[in-house]
Amino acid sequence: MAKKSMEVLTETMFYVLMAFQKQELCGTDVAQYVKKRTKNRVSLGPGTLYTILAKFEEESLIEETASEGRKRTYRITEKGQAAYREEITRLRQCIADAEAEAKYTI
Amino acid sequence: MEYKRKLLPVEPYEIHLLEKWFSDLSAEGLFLVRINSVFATFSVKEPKRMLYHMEPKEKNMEDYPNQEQVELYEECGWTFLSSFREYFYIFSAEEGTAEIHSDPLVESSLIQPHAAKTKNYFWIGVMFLIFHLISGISRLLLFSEHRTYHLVHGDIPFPSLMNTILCLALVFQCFHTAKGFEKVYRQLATGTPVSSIKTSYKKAVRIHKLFFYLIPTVFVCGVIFTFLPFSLSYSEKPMAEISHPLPFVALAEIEEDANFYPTESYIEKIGSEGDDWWEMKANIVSFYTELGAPVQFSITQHGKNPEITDESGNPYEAHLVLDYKKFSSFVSPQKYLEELFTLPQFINWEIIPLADTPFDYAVLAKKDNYTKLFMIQGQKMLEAYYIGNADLTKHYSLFDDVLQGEYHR
Repeated sequence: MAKKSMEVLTETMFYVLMAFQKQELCGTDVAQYVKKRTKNRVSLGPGTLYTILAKFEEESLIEETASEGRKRTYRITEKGQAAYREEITRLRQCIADAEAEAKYTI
Repeated sequence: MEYKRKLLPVEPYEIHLLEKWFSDLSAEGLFLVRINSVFATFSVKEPKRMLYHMEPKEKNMEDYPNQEQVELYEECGWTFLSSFREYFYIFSAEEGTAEIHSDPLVESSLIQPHAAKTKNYFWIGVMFLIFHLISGISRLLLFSEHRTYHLVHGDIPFPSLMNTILCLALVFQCFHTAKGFEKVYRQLATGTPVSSIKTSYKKAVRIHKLFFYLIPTVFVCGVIFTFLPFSLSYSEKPMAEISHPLPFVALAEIEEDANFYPTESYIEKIGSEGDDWWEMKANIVSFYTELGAPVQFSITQHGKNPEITDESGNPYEAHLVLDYKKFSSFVSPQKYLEELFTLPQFINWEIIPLADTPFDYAVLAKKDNYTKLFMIQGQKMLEAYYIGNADLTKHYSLFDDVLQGEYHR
């Protein structure tokens, strides 16, 4: 069954939130961070980046801190941090379940 | 610069097919410039395959995307070309440029509002269809009850039928559009990129052609057949402007009074004080054309004799409307009269079939000082509607002369 968008973070969305953990960034910086962090495994198309930033801002996961022409800088909010931590917990649980299953199989 | 126009081949929700179509045409030297609901306009240049992307519009549905979005896309090699209805912005890029969307799930969040909106249009269309069905069935039942009468007076349920068919066609299209967008949304939401969505091009073209030709055809037919009778039908002219002979019996002849003269106009009050008044000019001819009776004239006359006054001193006034009808061959004039007398307008009227008349069939209807004399000869009928003191049955010869003639508009 198709997931509702933004209910569960996709890999791309997760890495975008990760980018904001230590600093405020603009859109282009986010794209570069994700590319570098994942060693080019995850790419952010301009449409995907624009849509994610717009949706995150709409859902108050990030907020704009500065605007210079087209360049807009964002930072993560408390709500964004909570969503990020929740996703990490979920991913850890997935890995734990997979490892437990692997031990059982062996 | 040379431009060419092409009809869009498929419905707007066939994103992948349209993007591929634009790209294939660019390889033939046609480059998309702008697009509307029906056509795409291309500039003719040296062939070079380009990539095209149909970006779903967000809620605001402006004709031009956000400037920030345009500049961000331009930095990545994508140029904004055109807005496409309320659904998409179209961008183009050189071959080999990275796709605008790298995450189908994120792209699905942009399609989802359009899928929801088109679904709402479908349900609204269904409600209209139900309304038109009920209305059409009611009209059909009413029509069946007094078929001849309605054929003669042009009250056939054809517009209702056309409205129902048009509604059905629109609902059918809304259903397909909603289904199309829902399919795209679900594919994207499961992580399938638009380019991977499998669709038969030929089937998509057939569906598009069906809607493209069917709906406008039904619409045009509905408009023509609804308004054609009006355009051919009613018109009003003063007697002085009529150049050819008409079925006419002078009111003065009915009154048998040389002092009786037609008035320029009179005013009759309808209803109580403060209600609207109407003014009718004497000696006016009205023309009608309907399916059941292609020749219909109505001549109104009004006159007075001031030498005759009532107790209040008001002059004697009389009013005569001659209504001539030539029925179509498939309509029975007697059946028309039978149905006419069952209508509410003839409640409390005394209906008297007449014998010993020079006509095939004649009926007198009376109520208070109103008299209606109906005379049928073959497929022709003359109705004399009279308010006054004269006895219409003493003037059969005048009416018979009228029915012997042939008249046209």
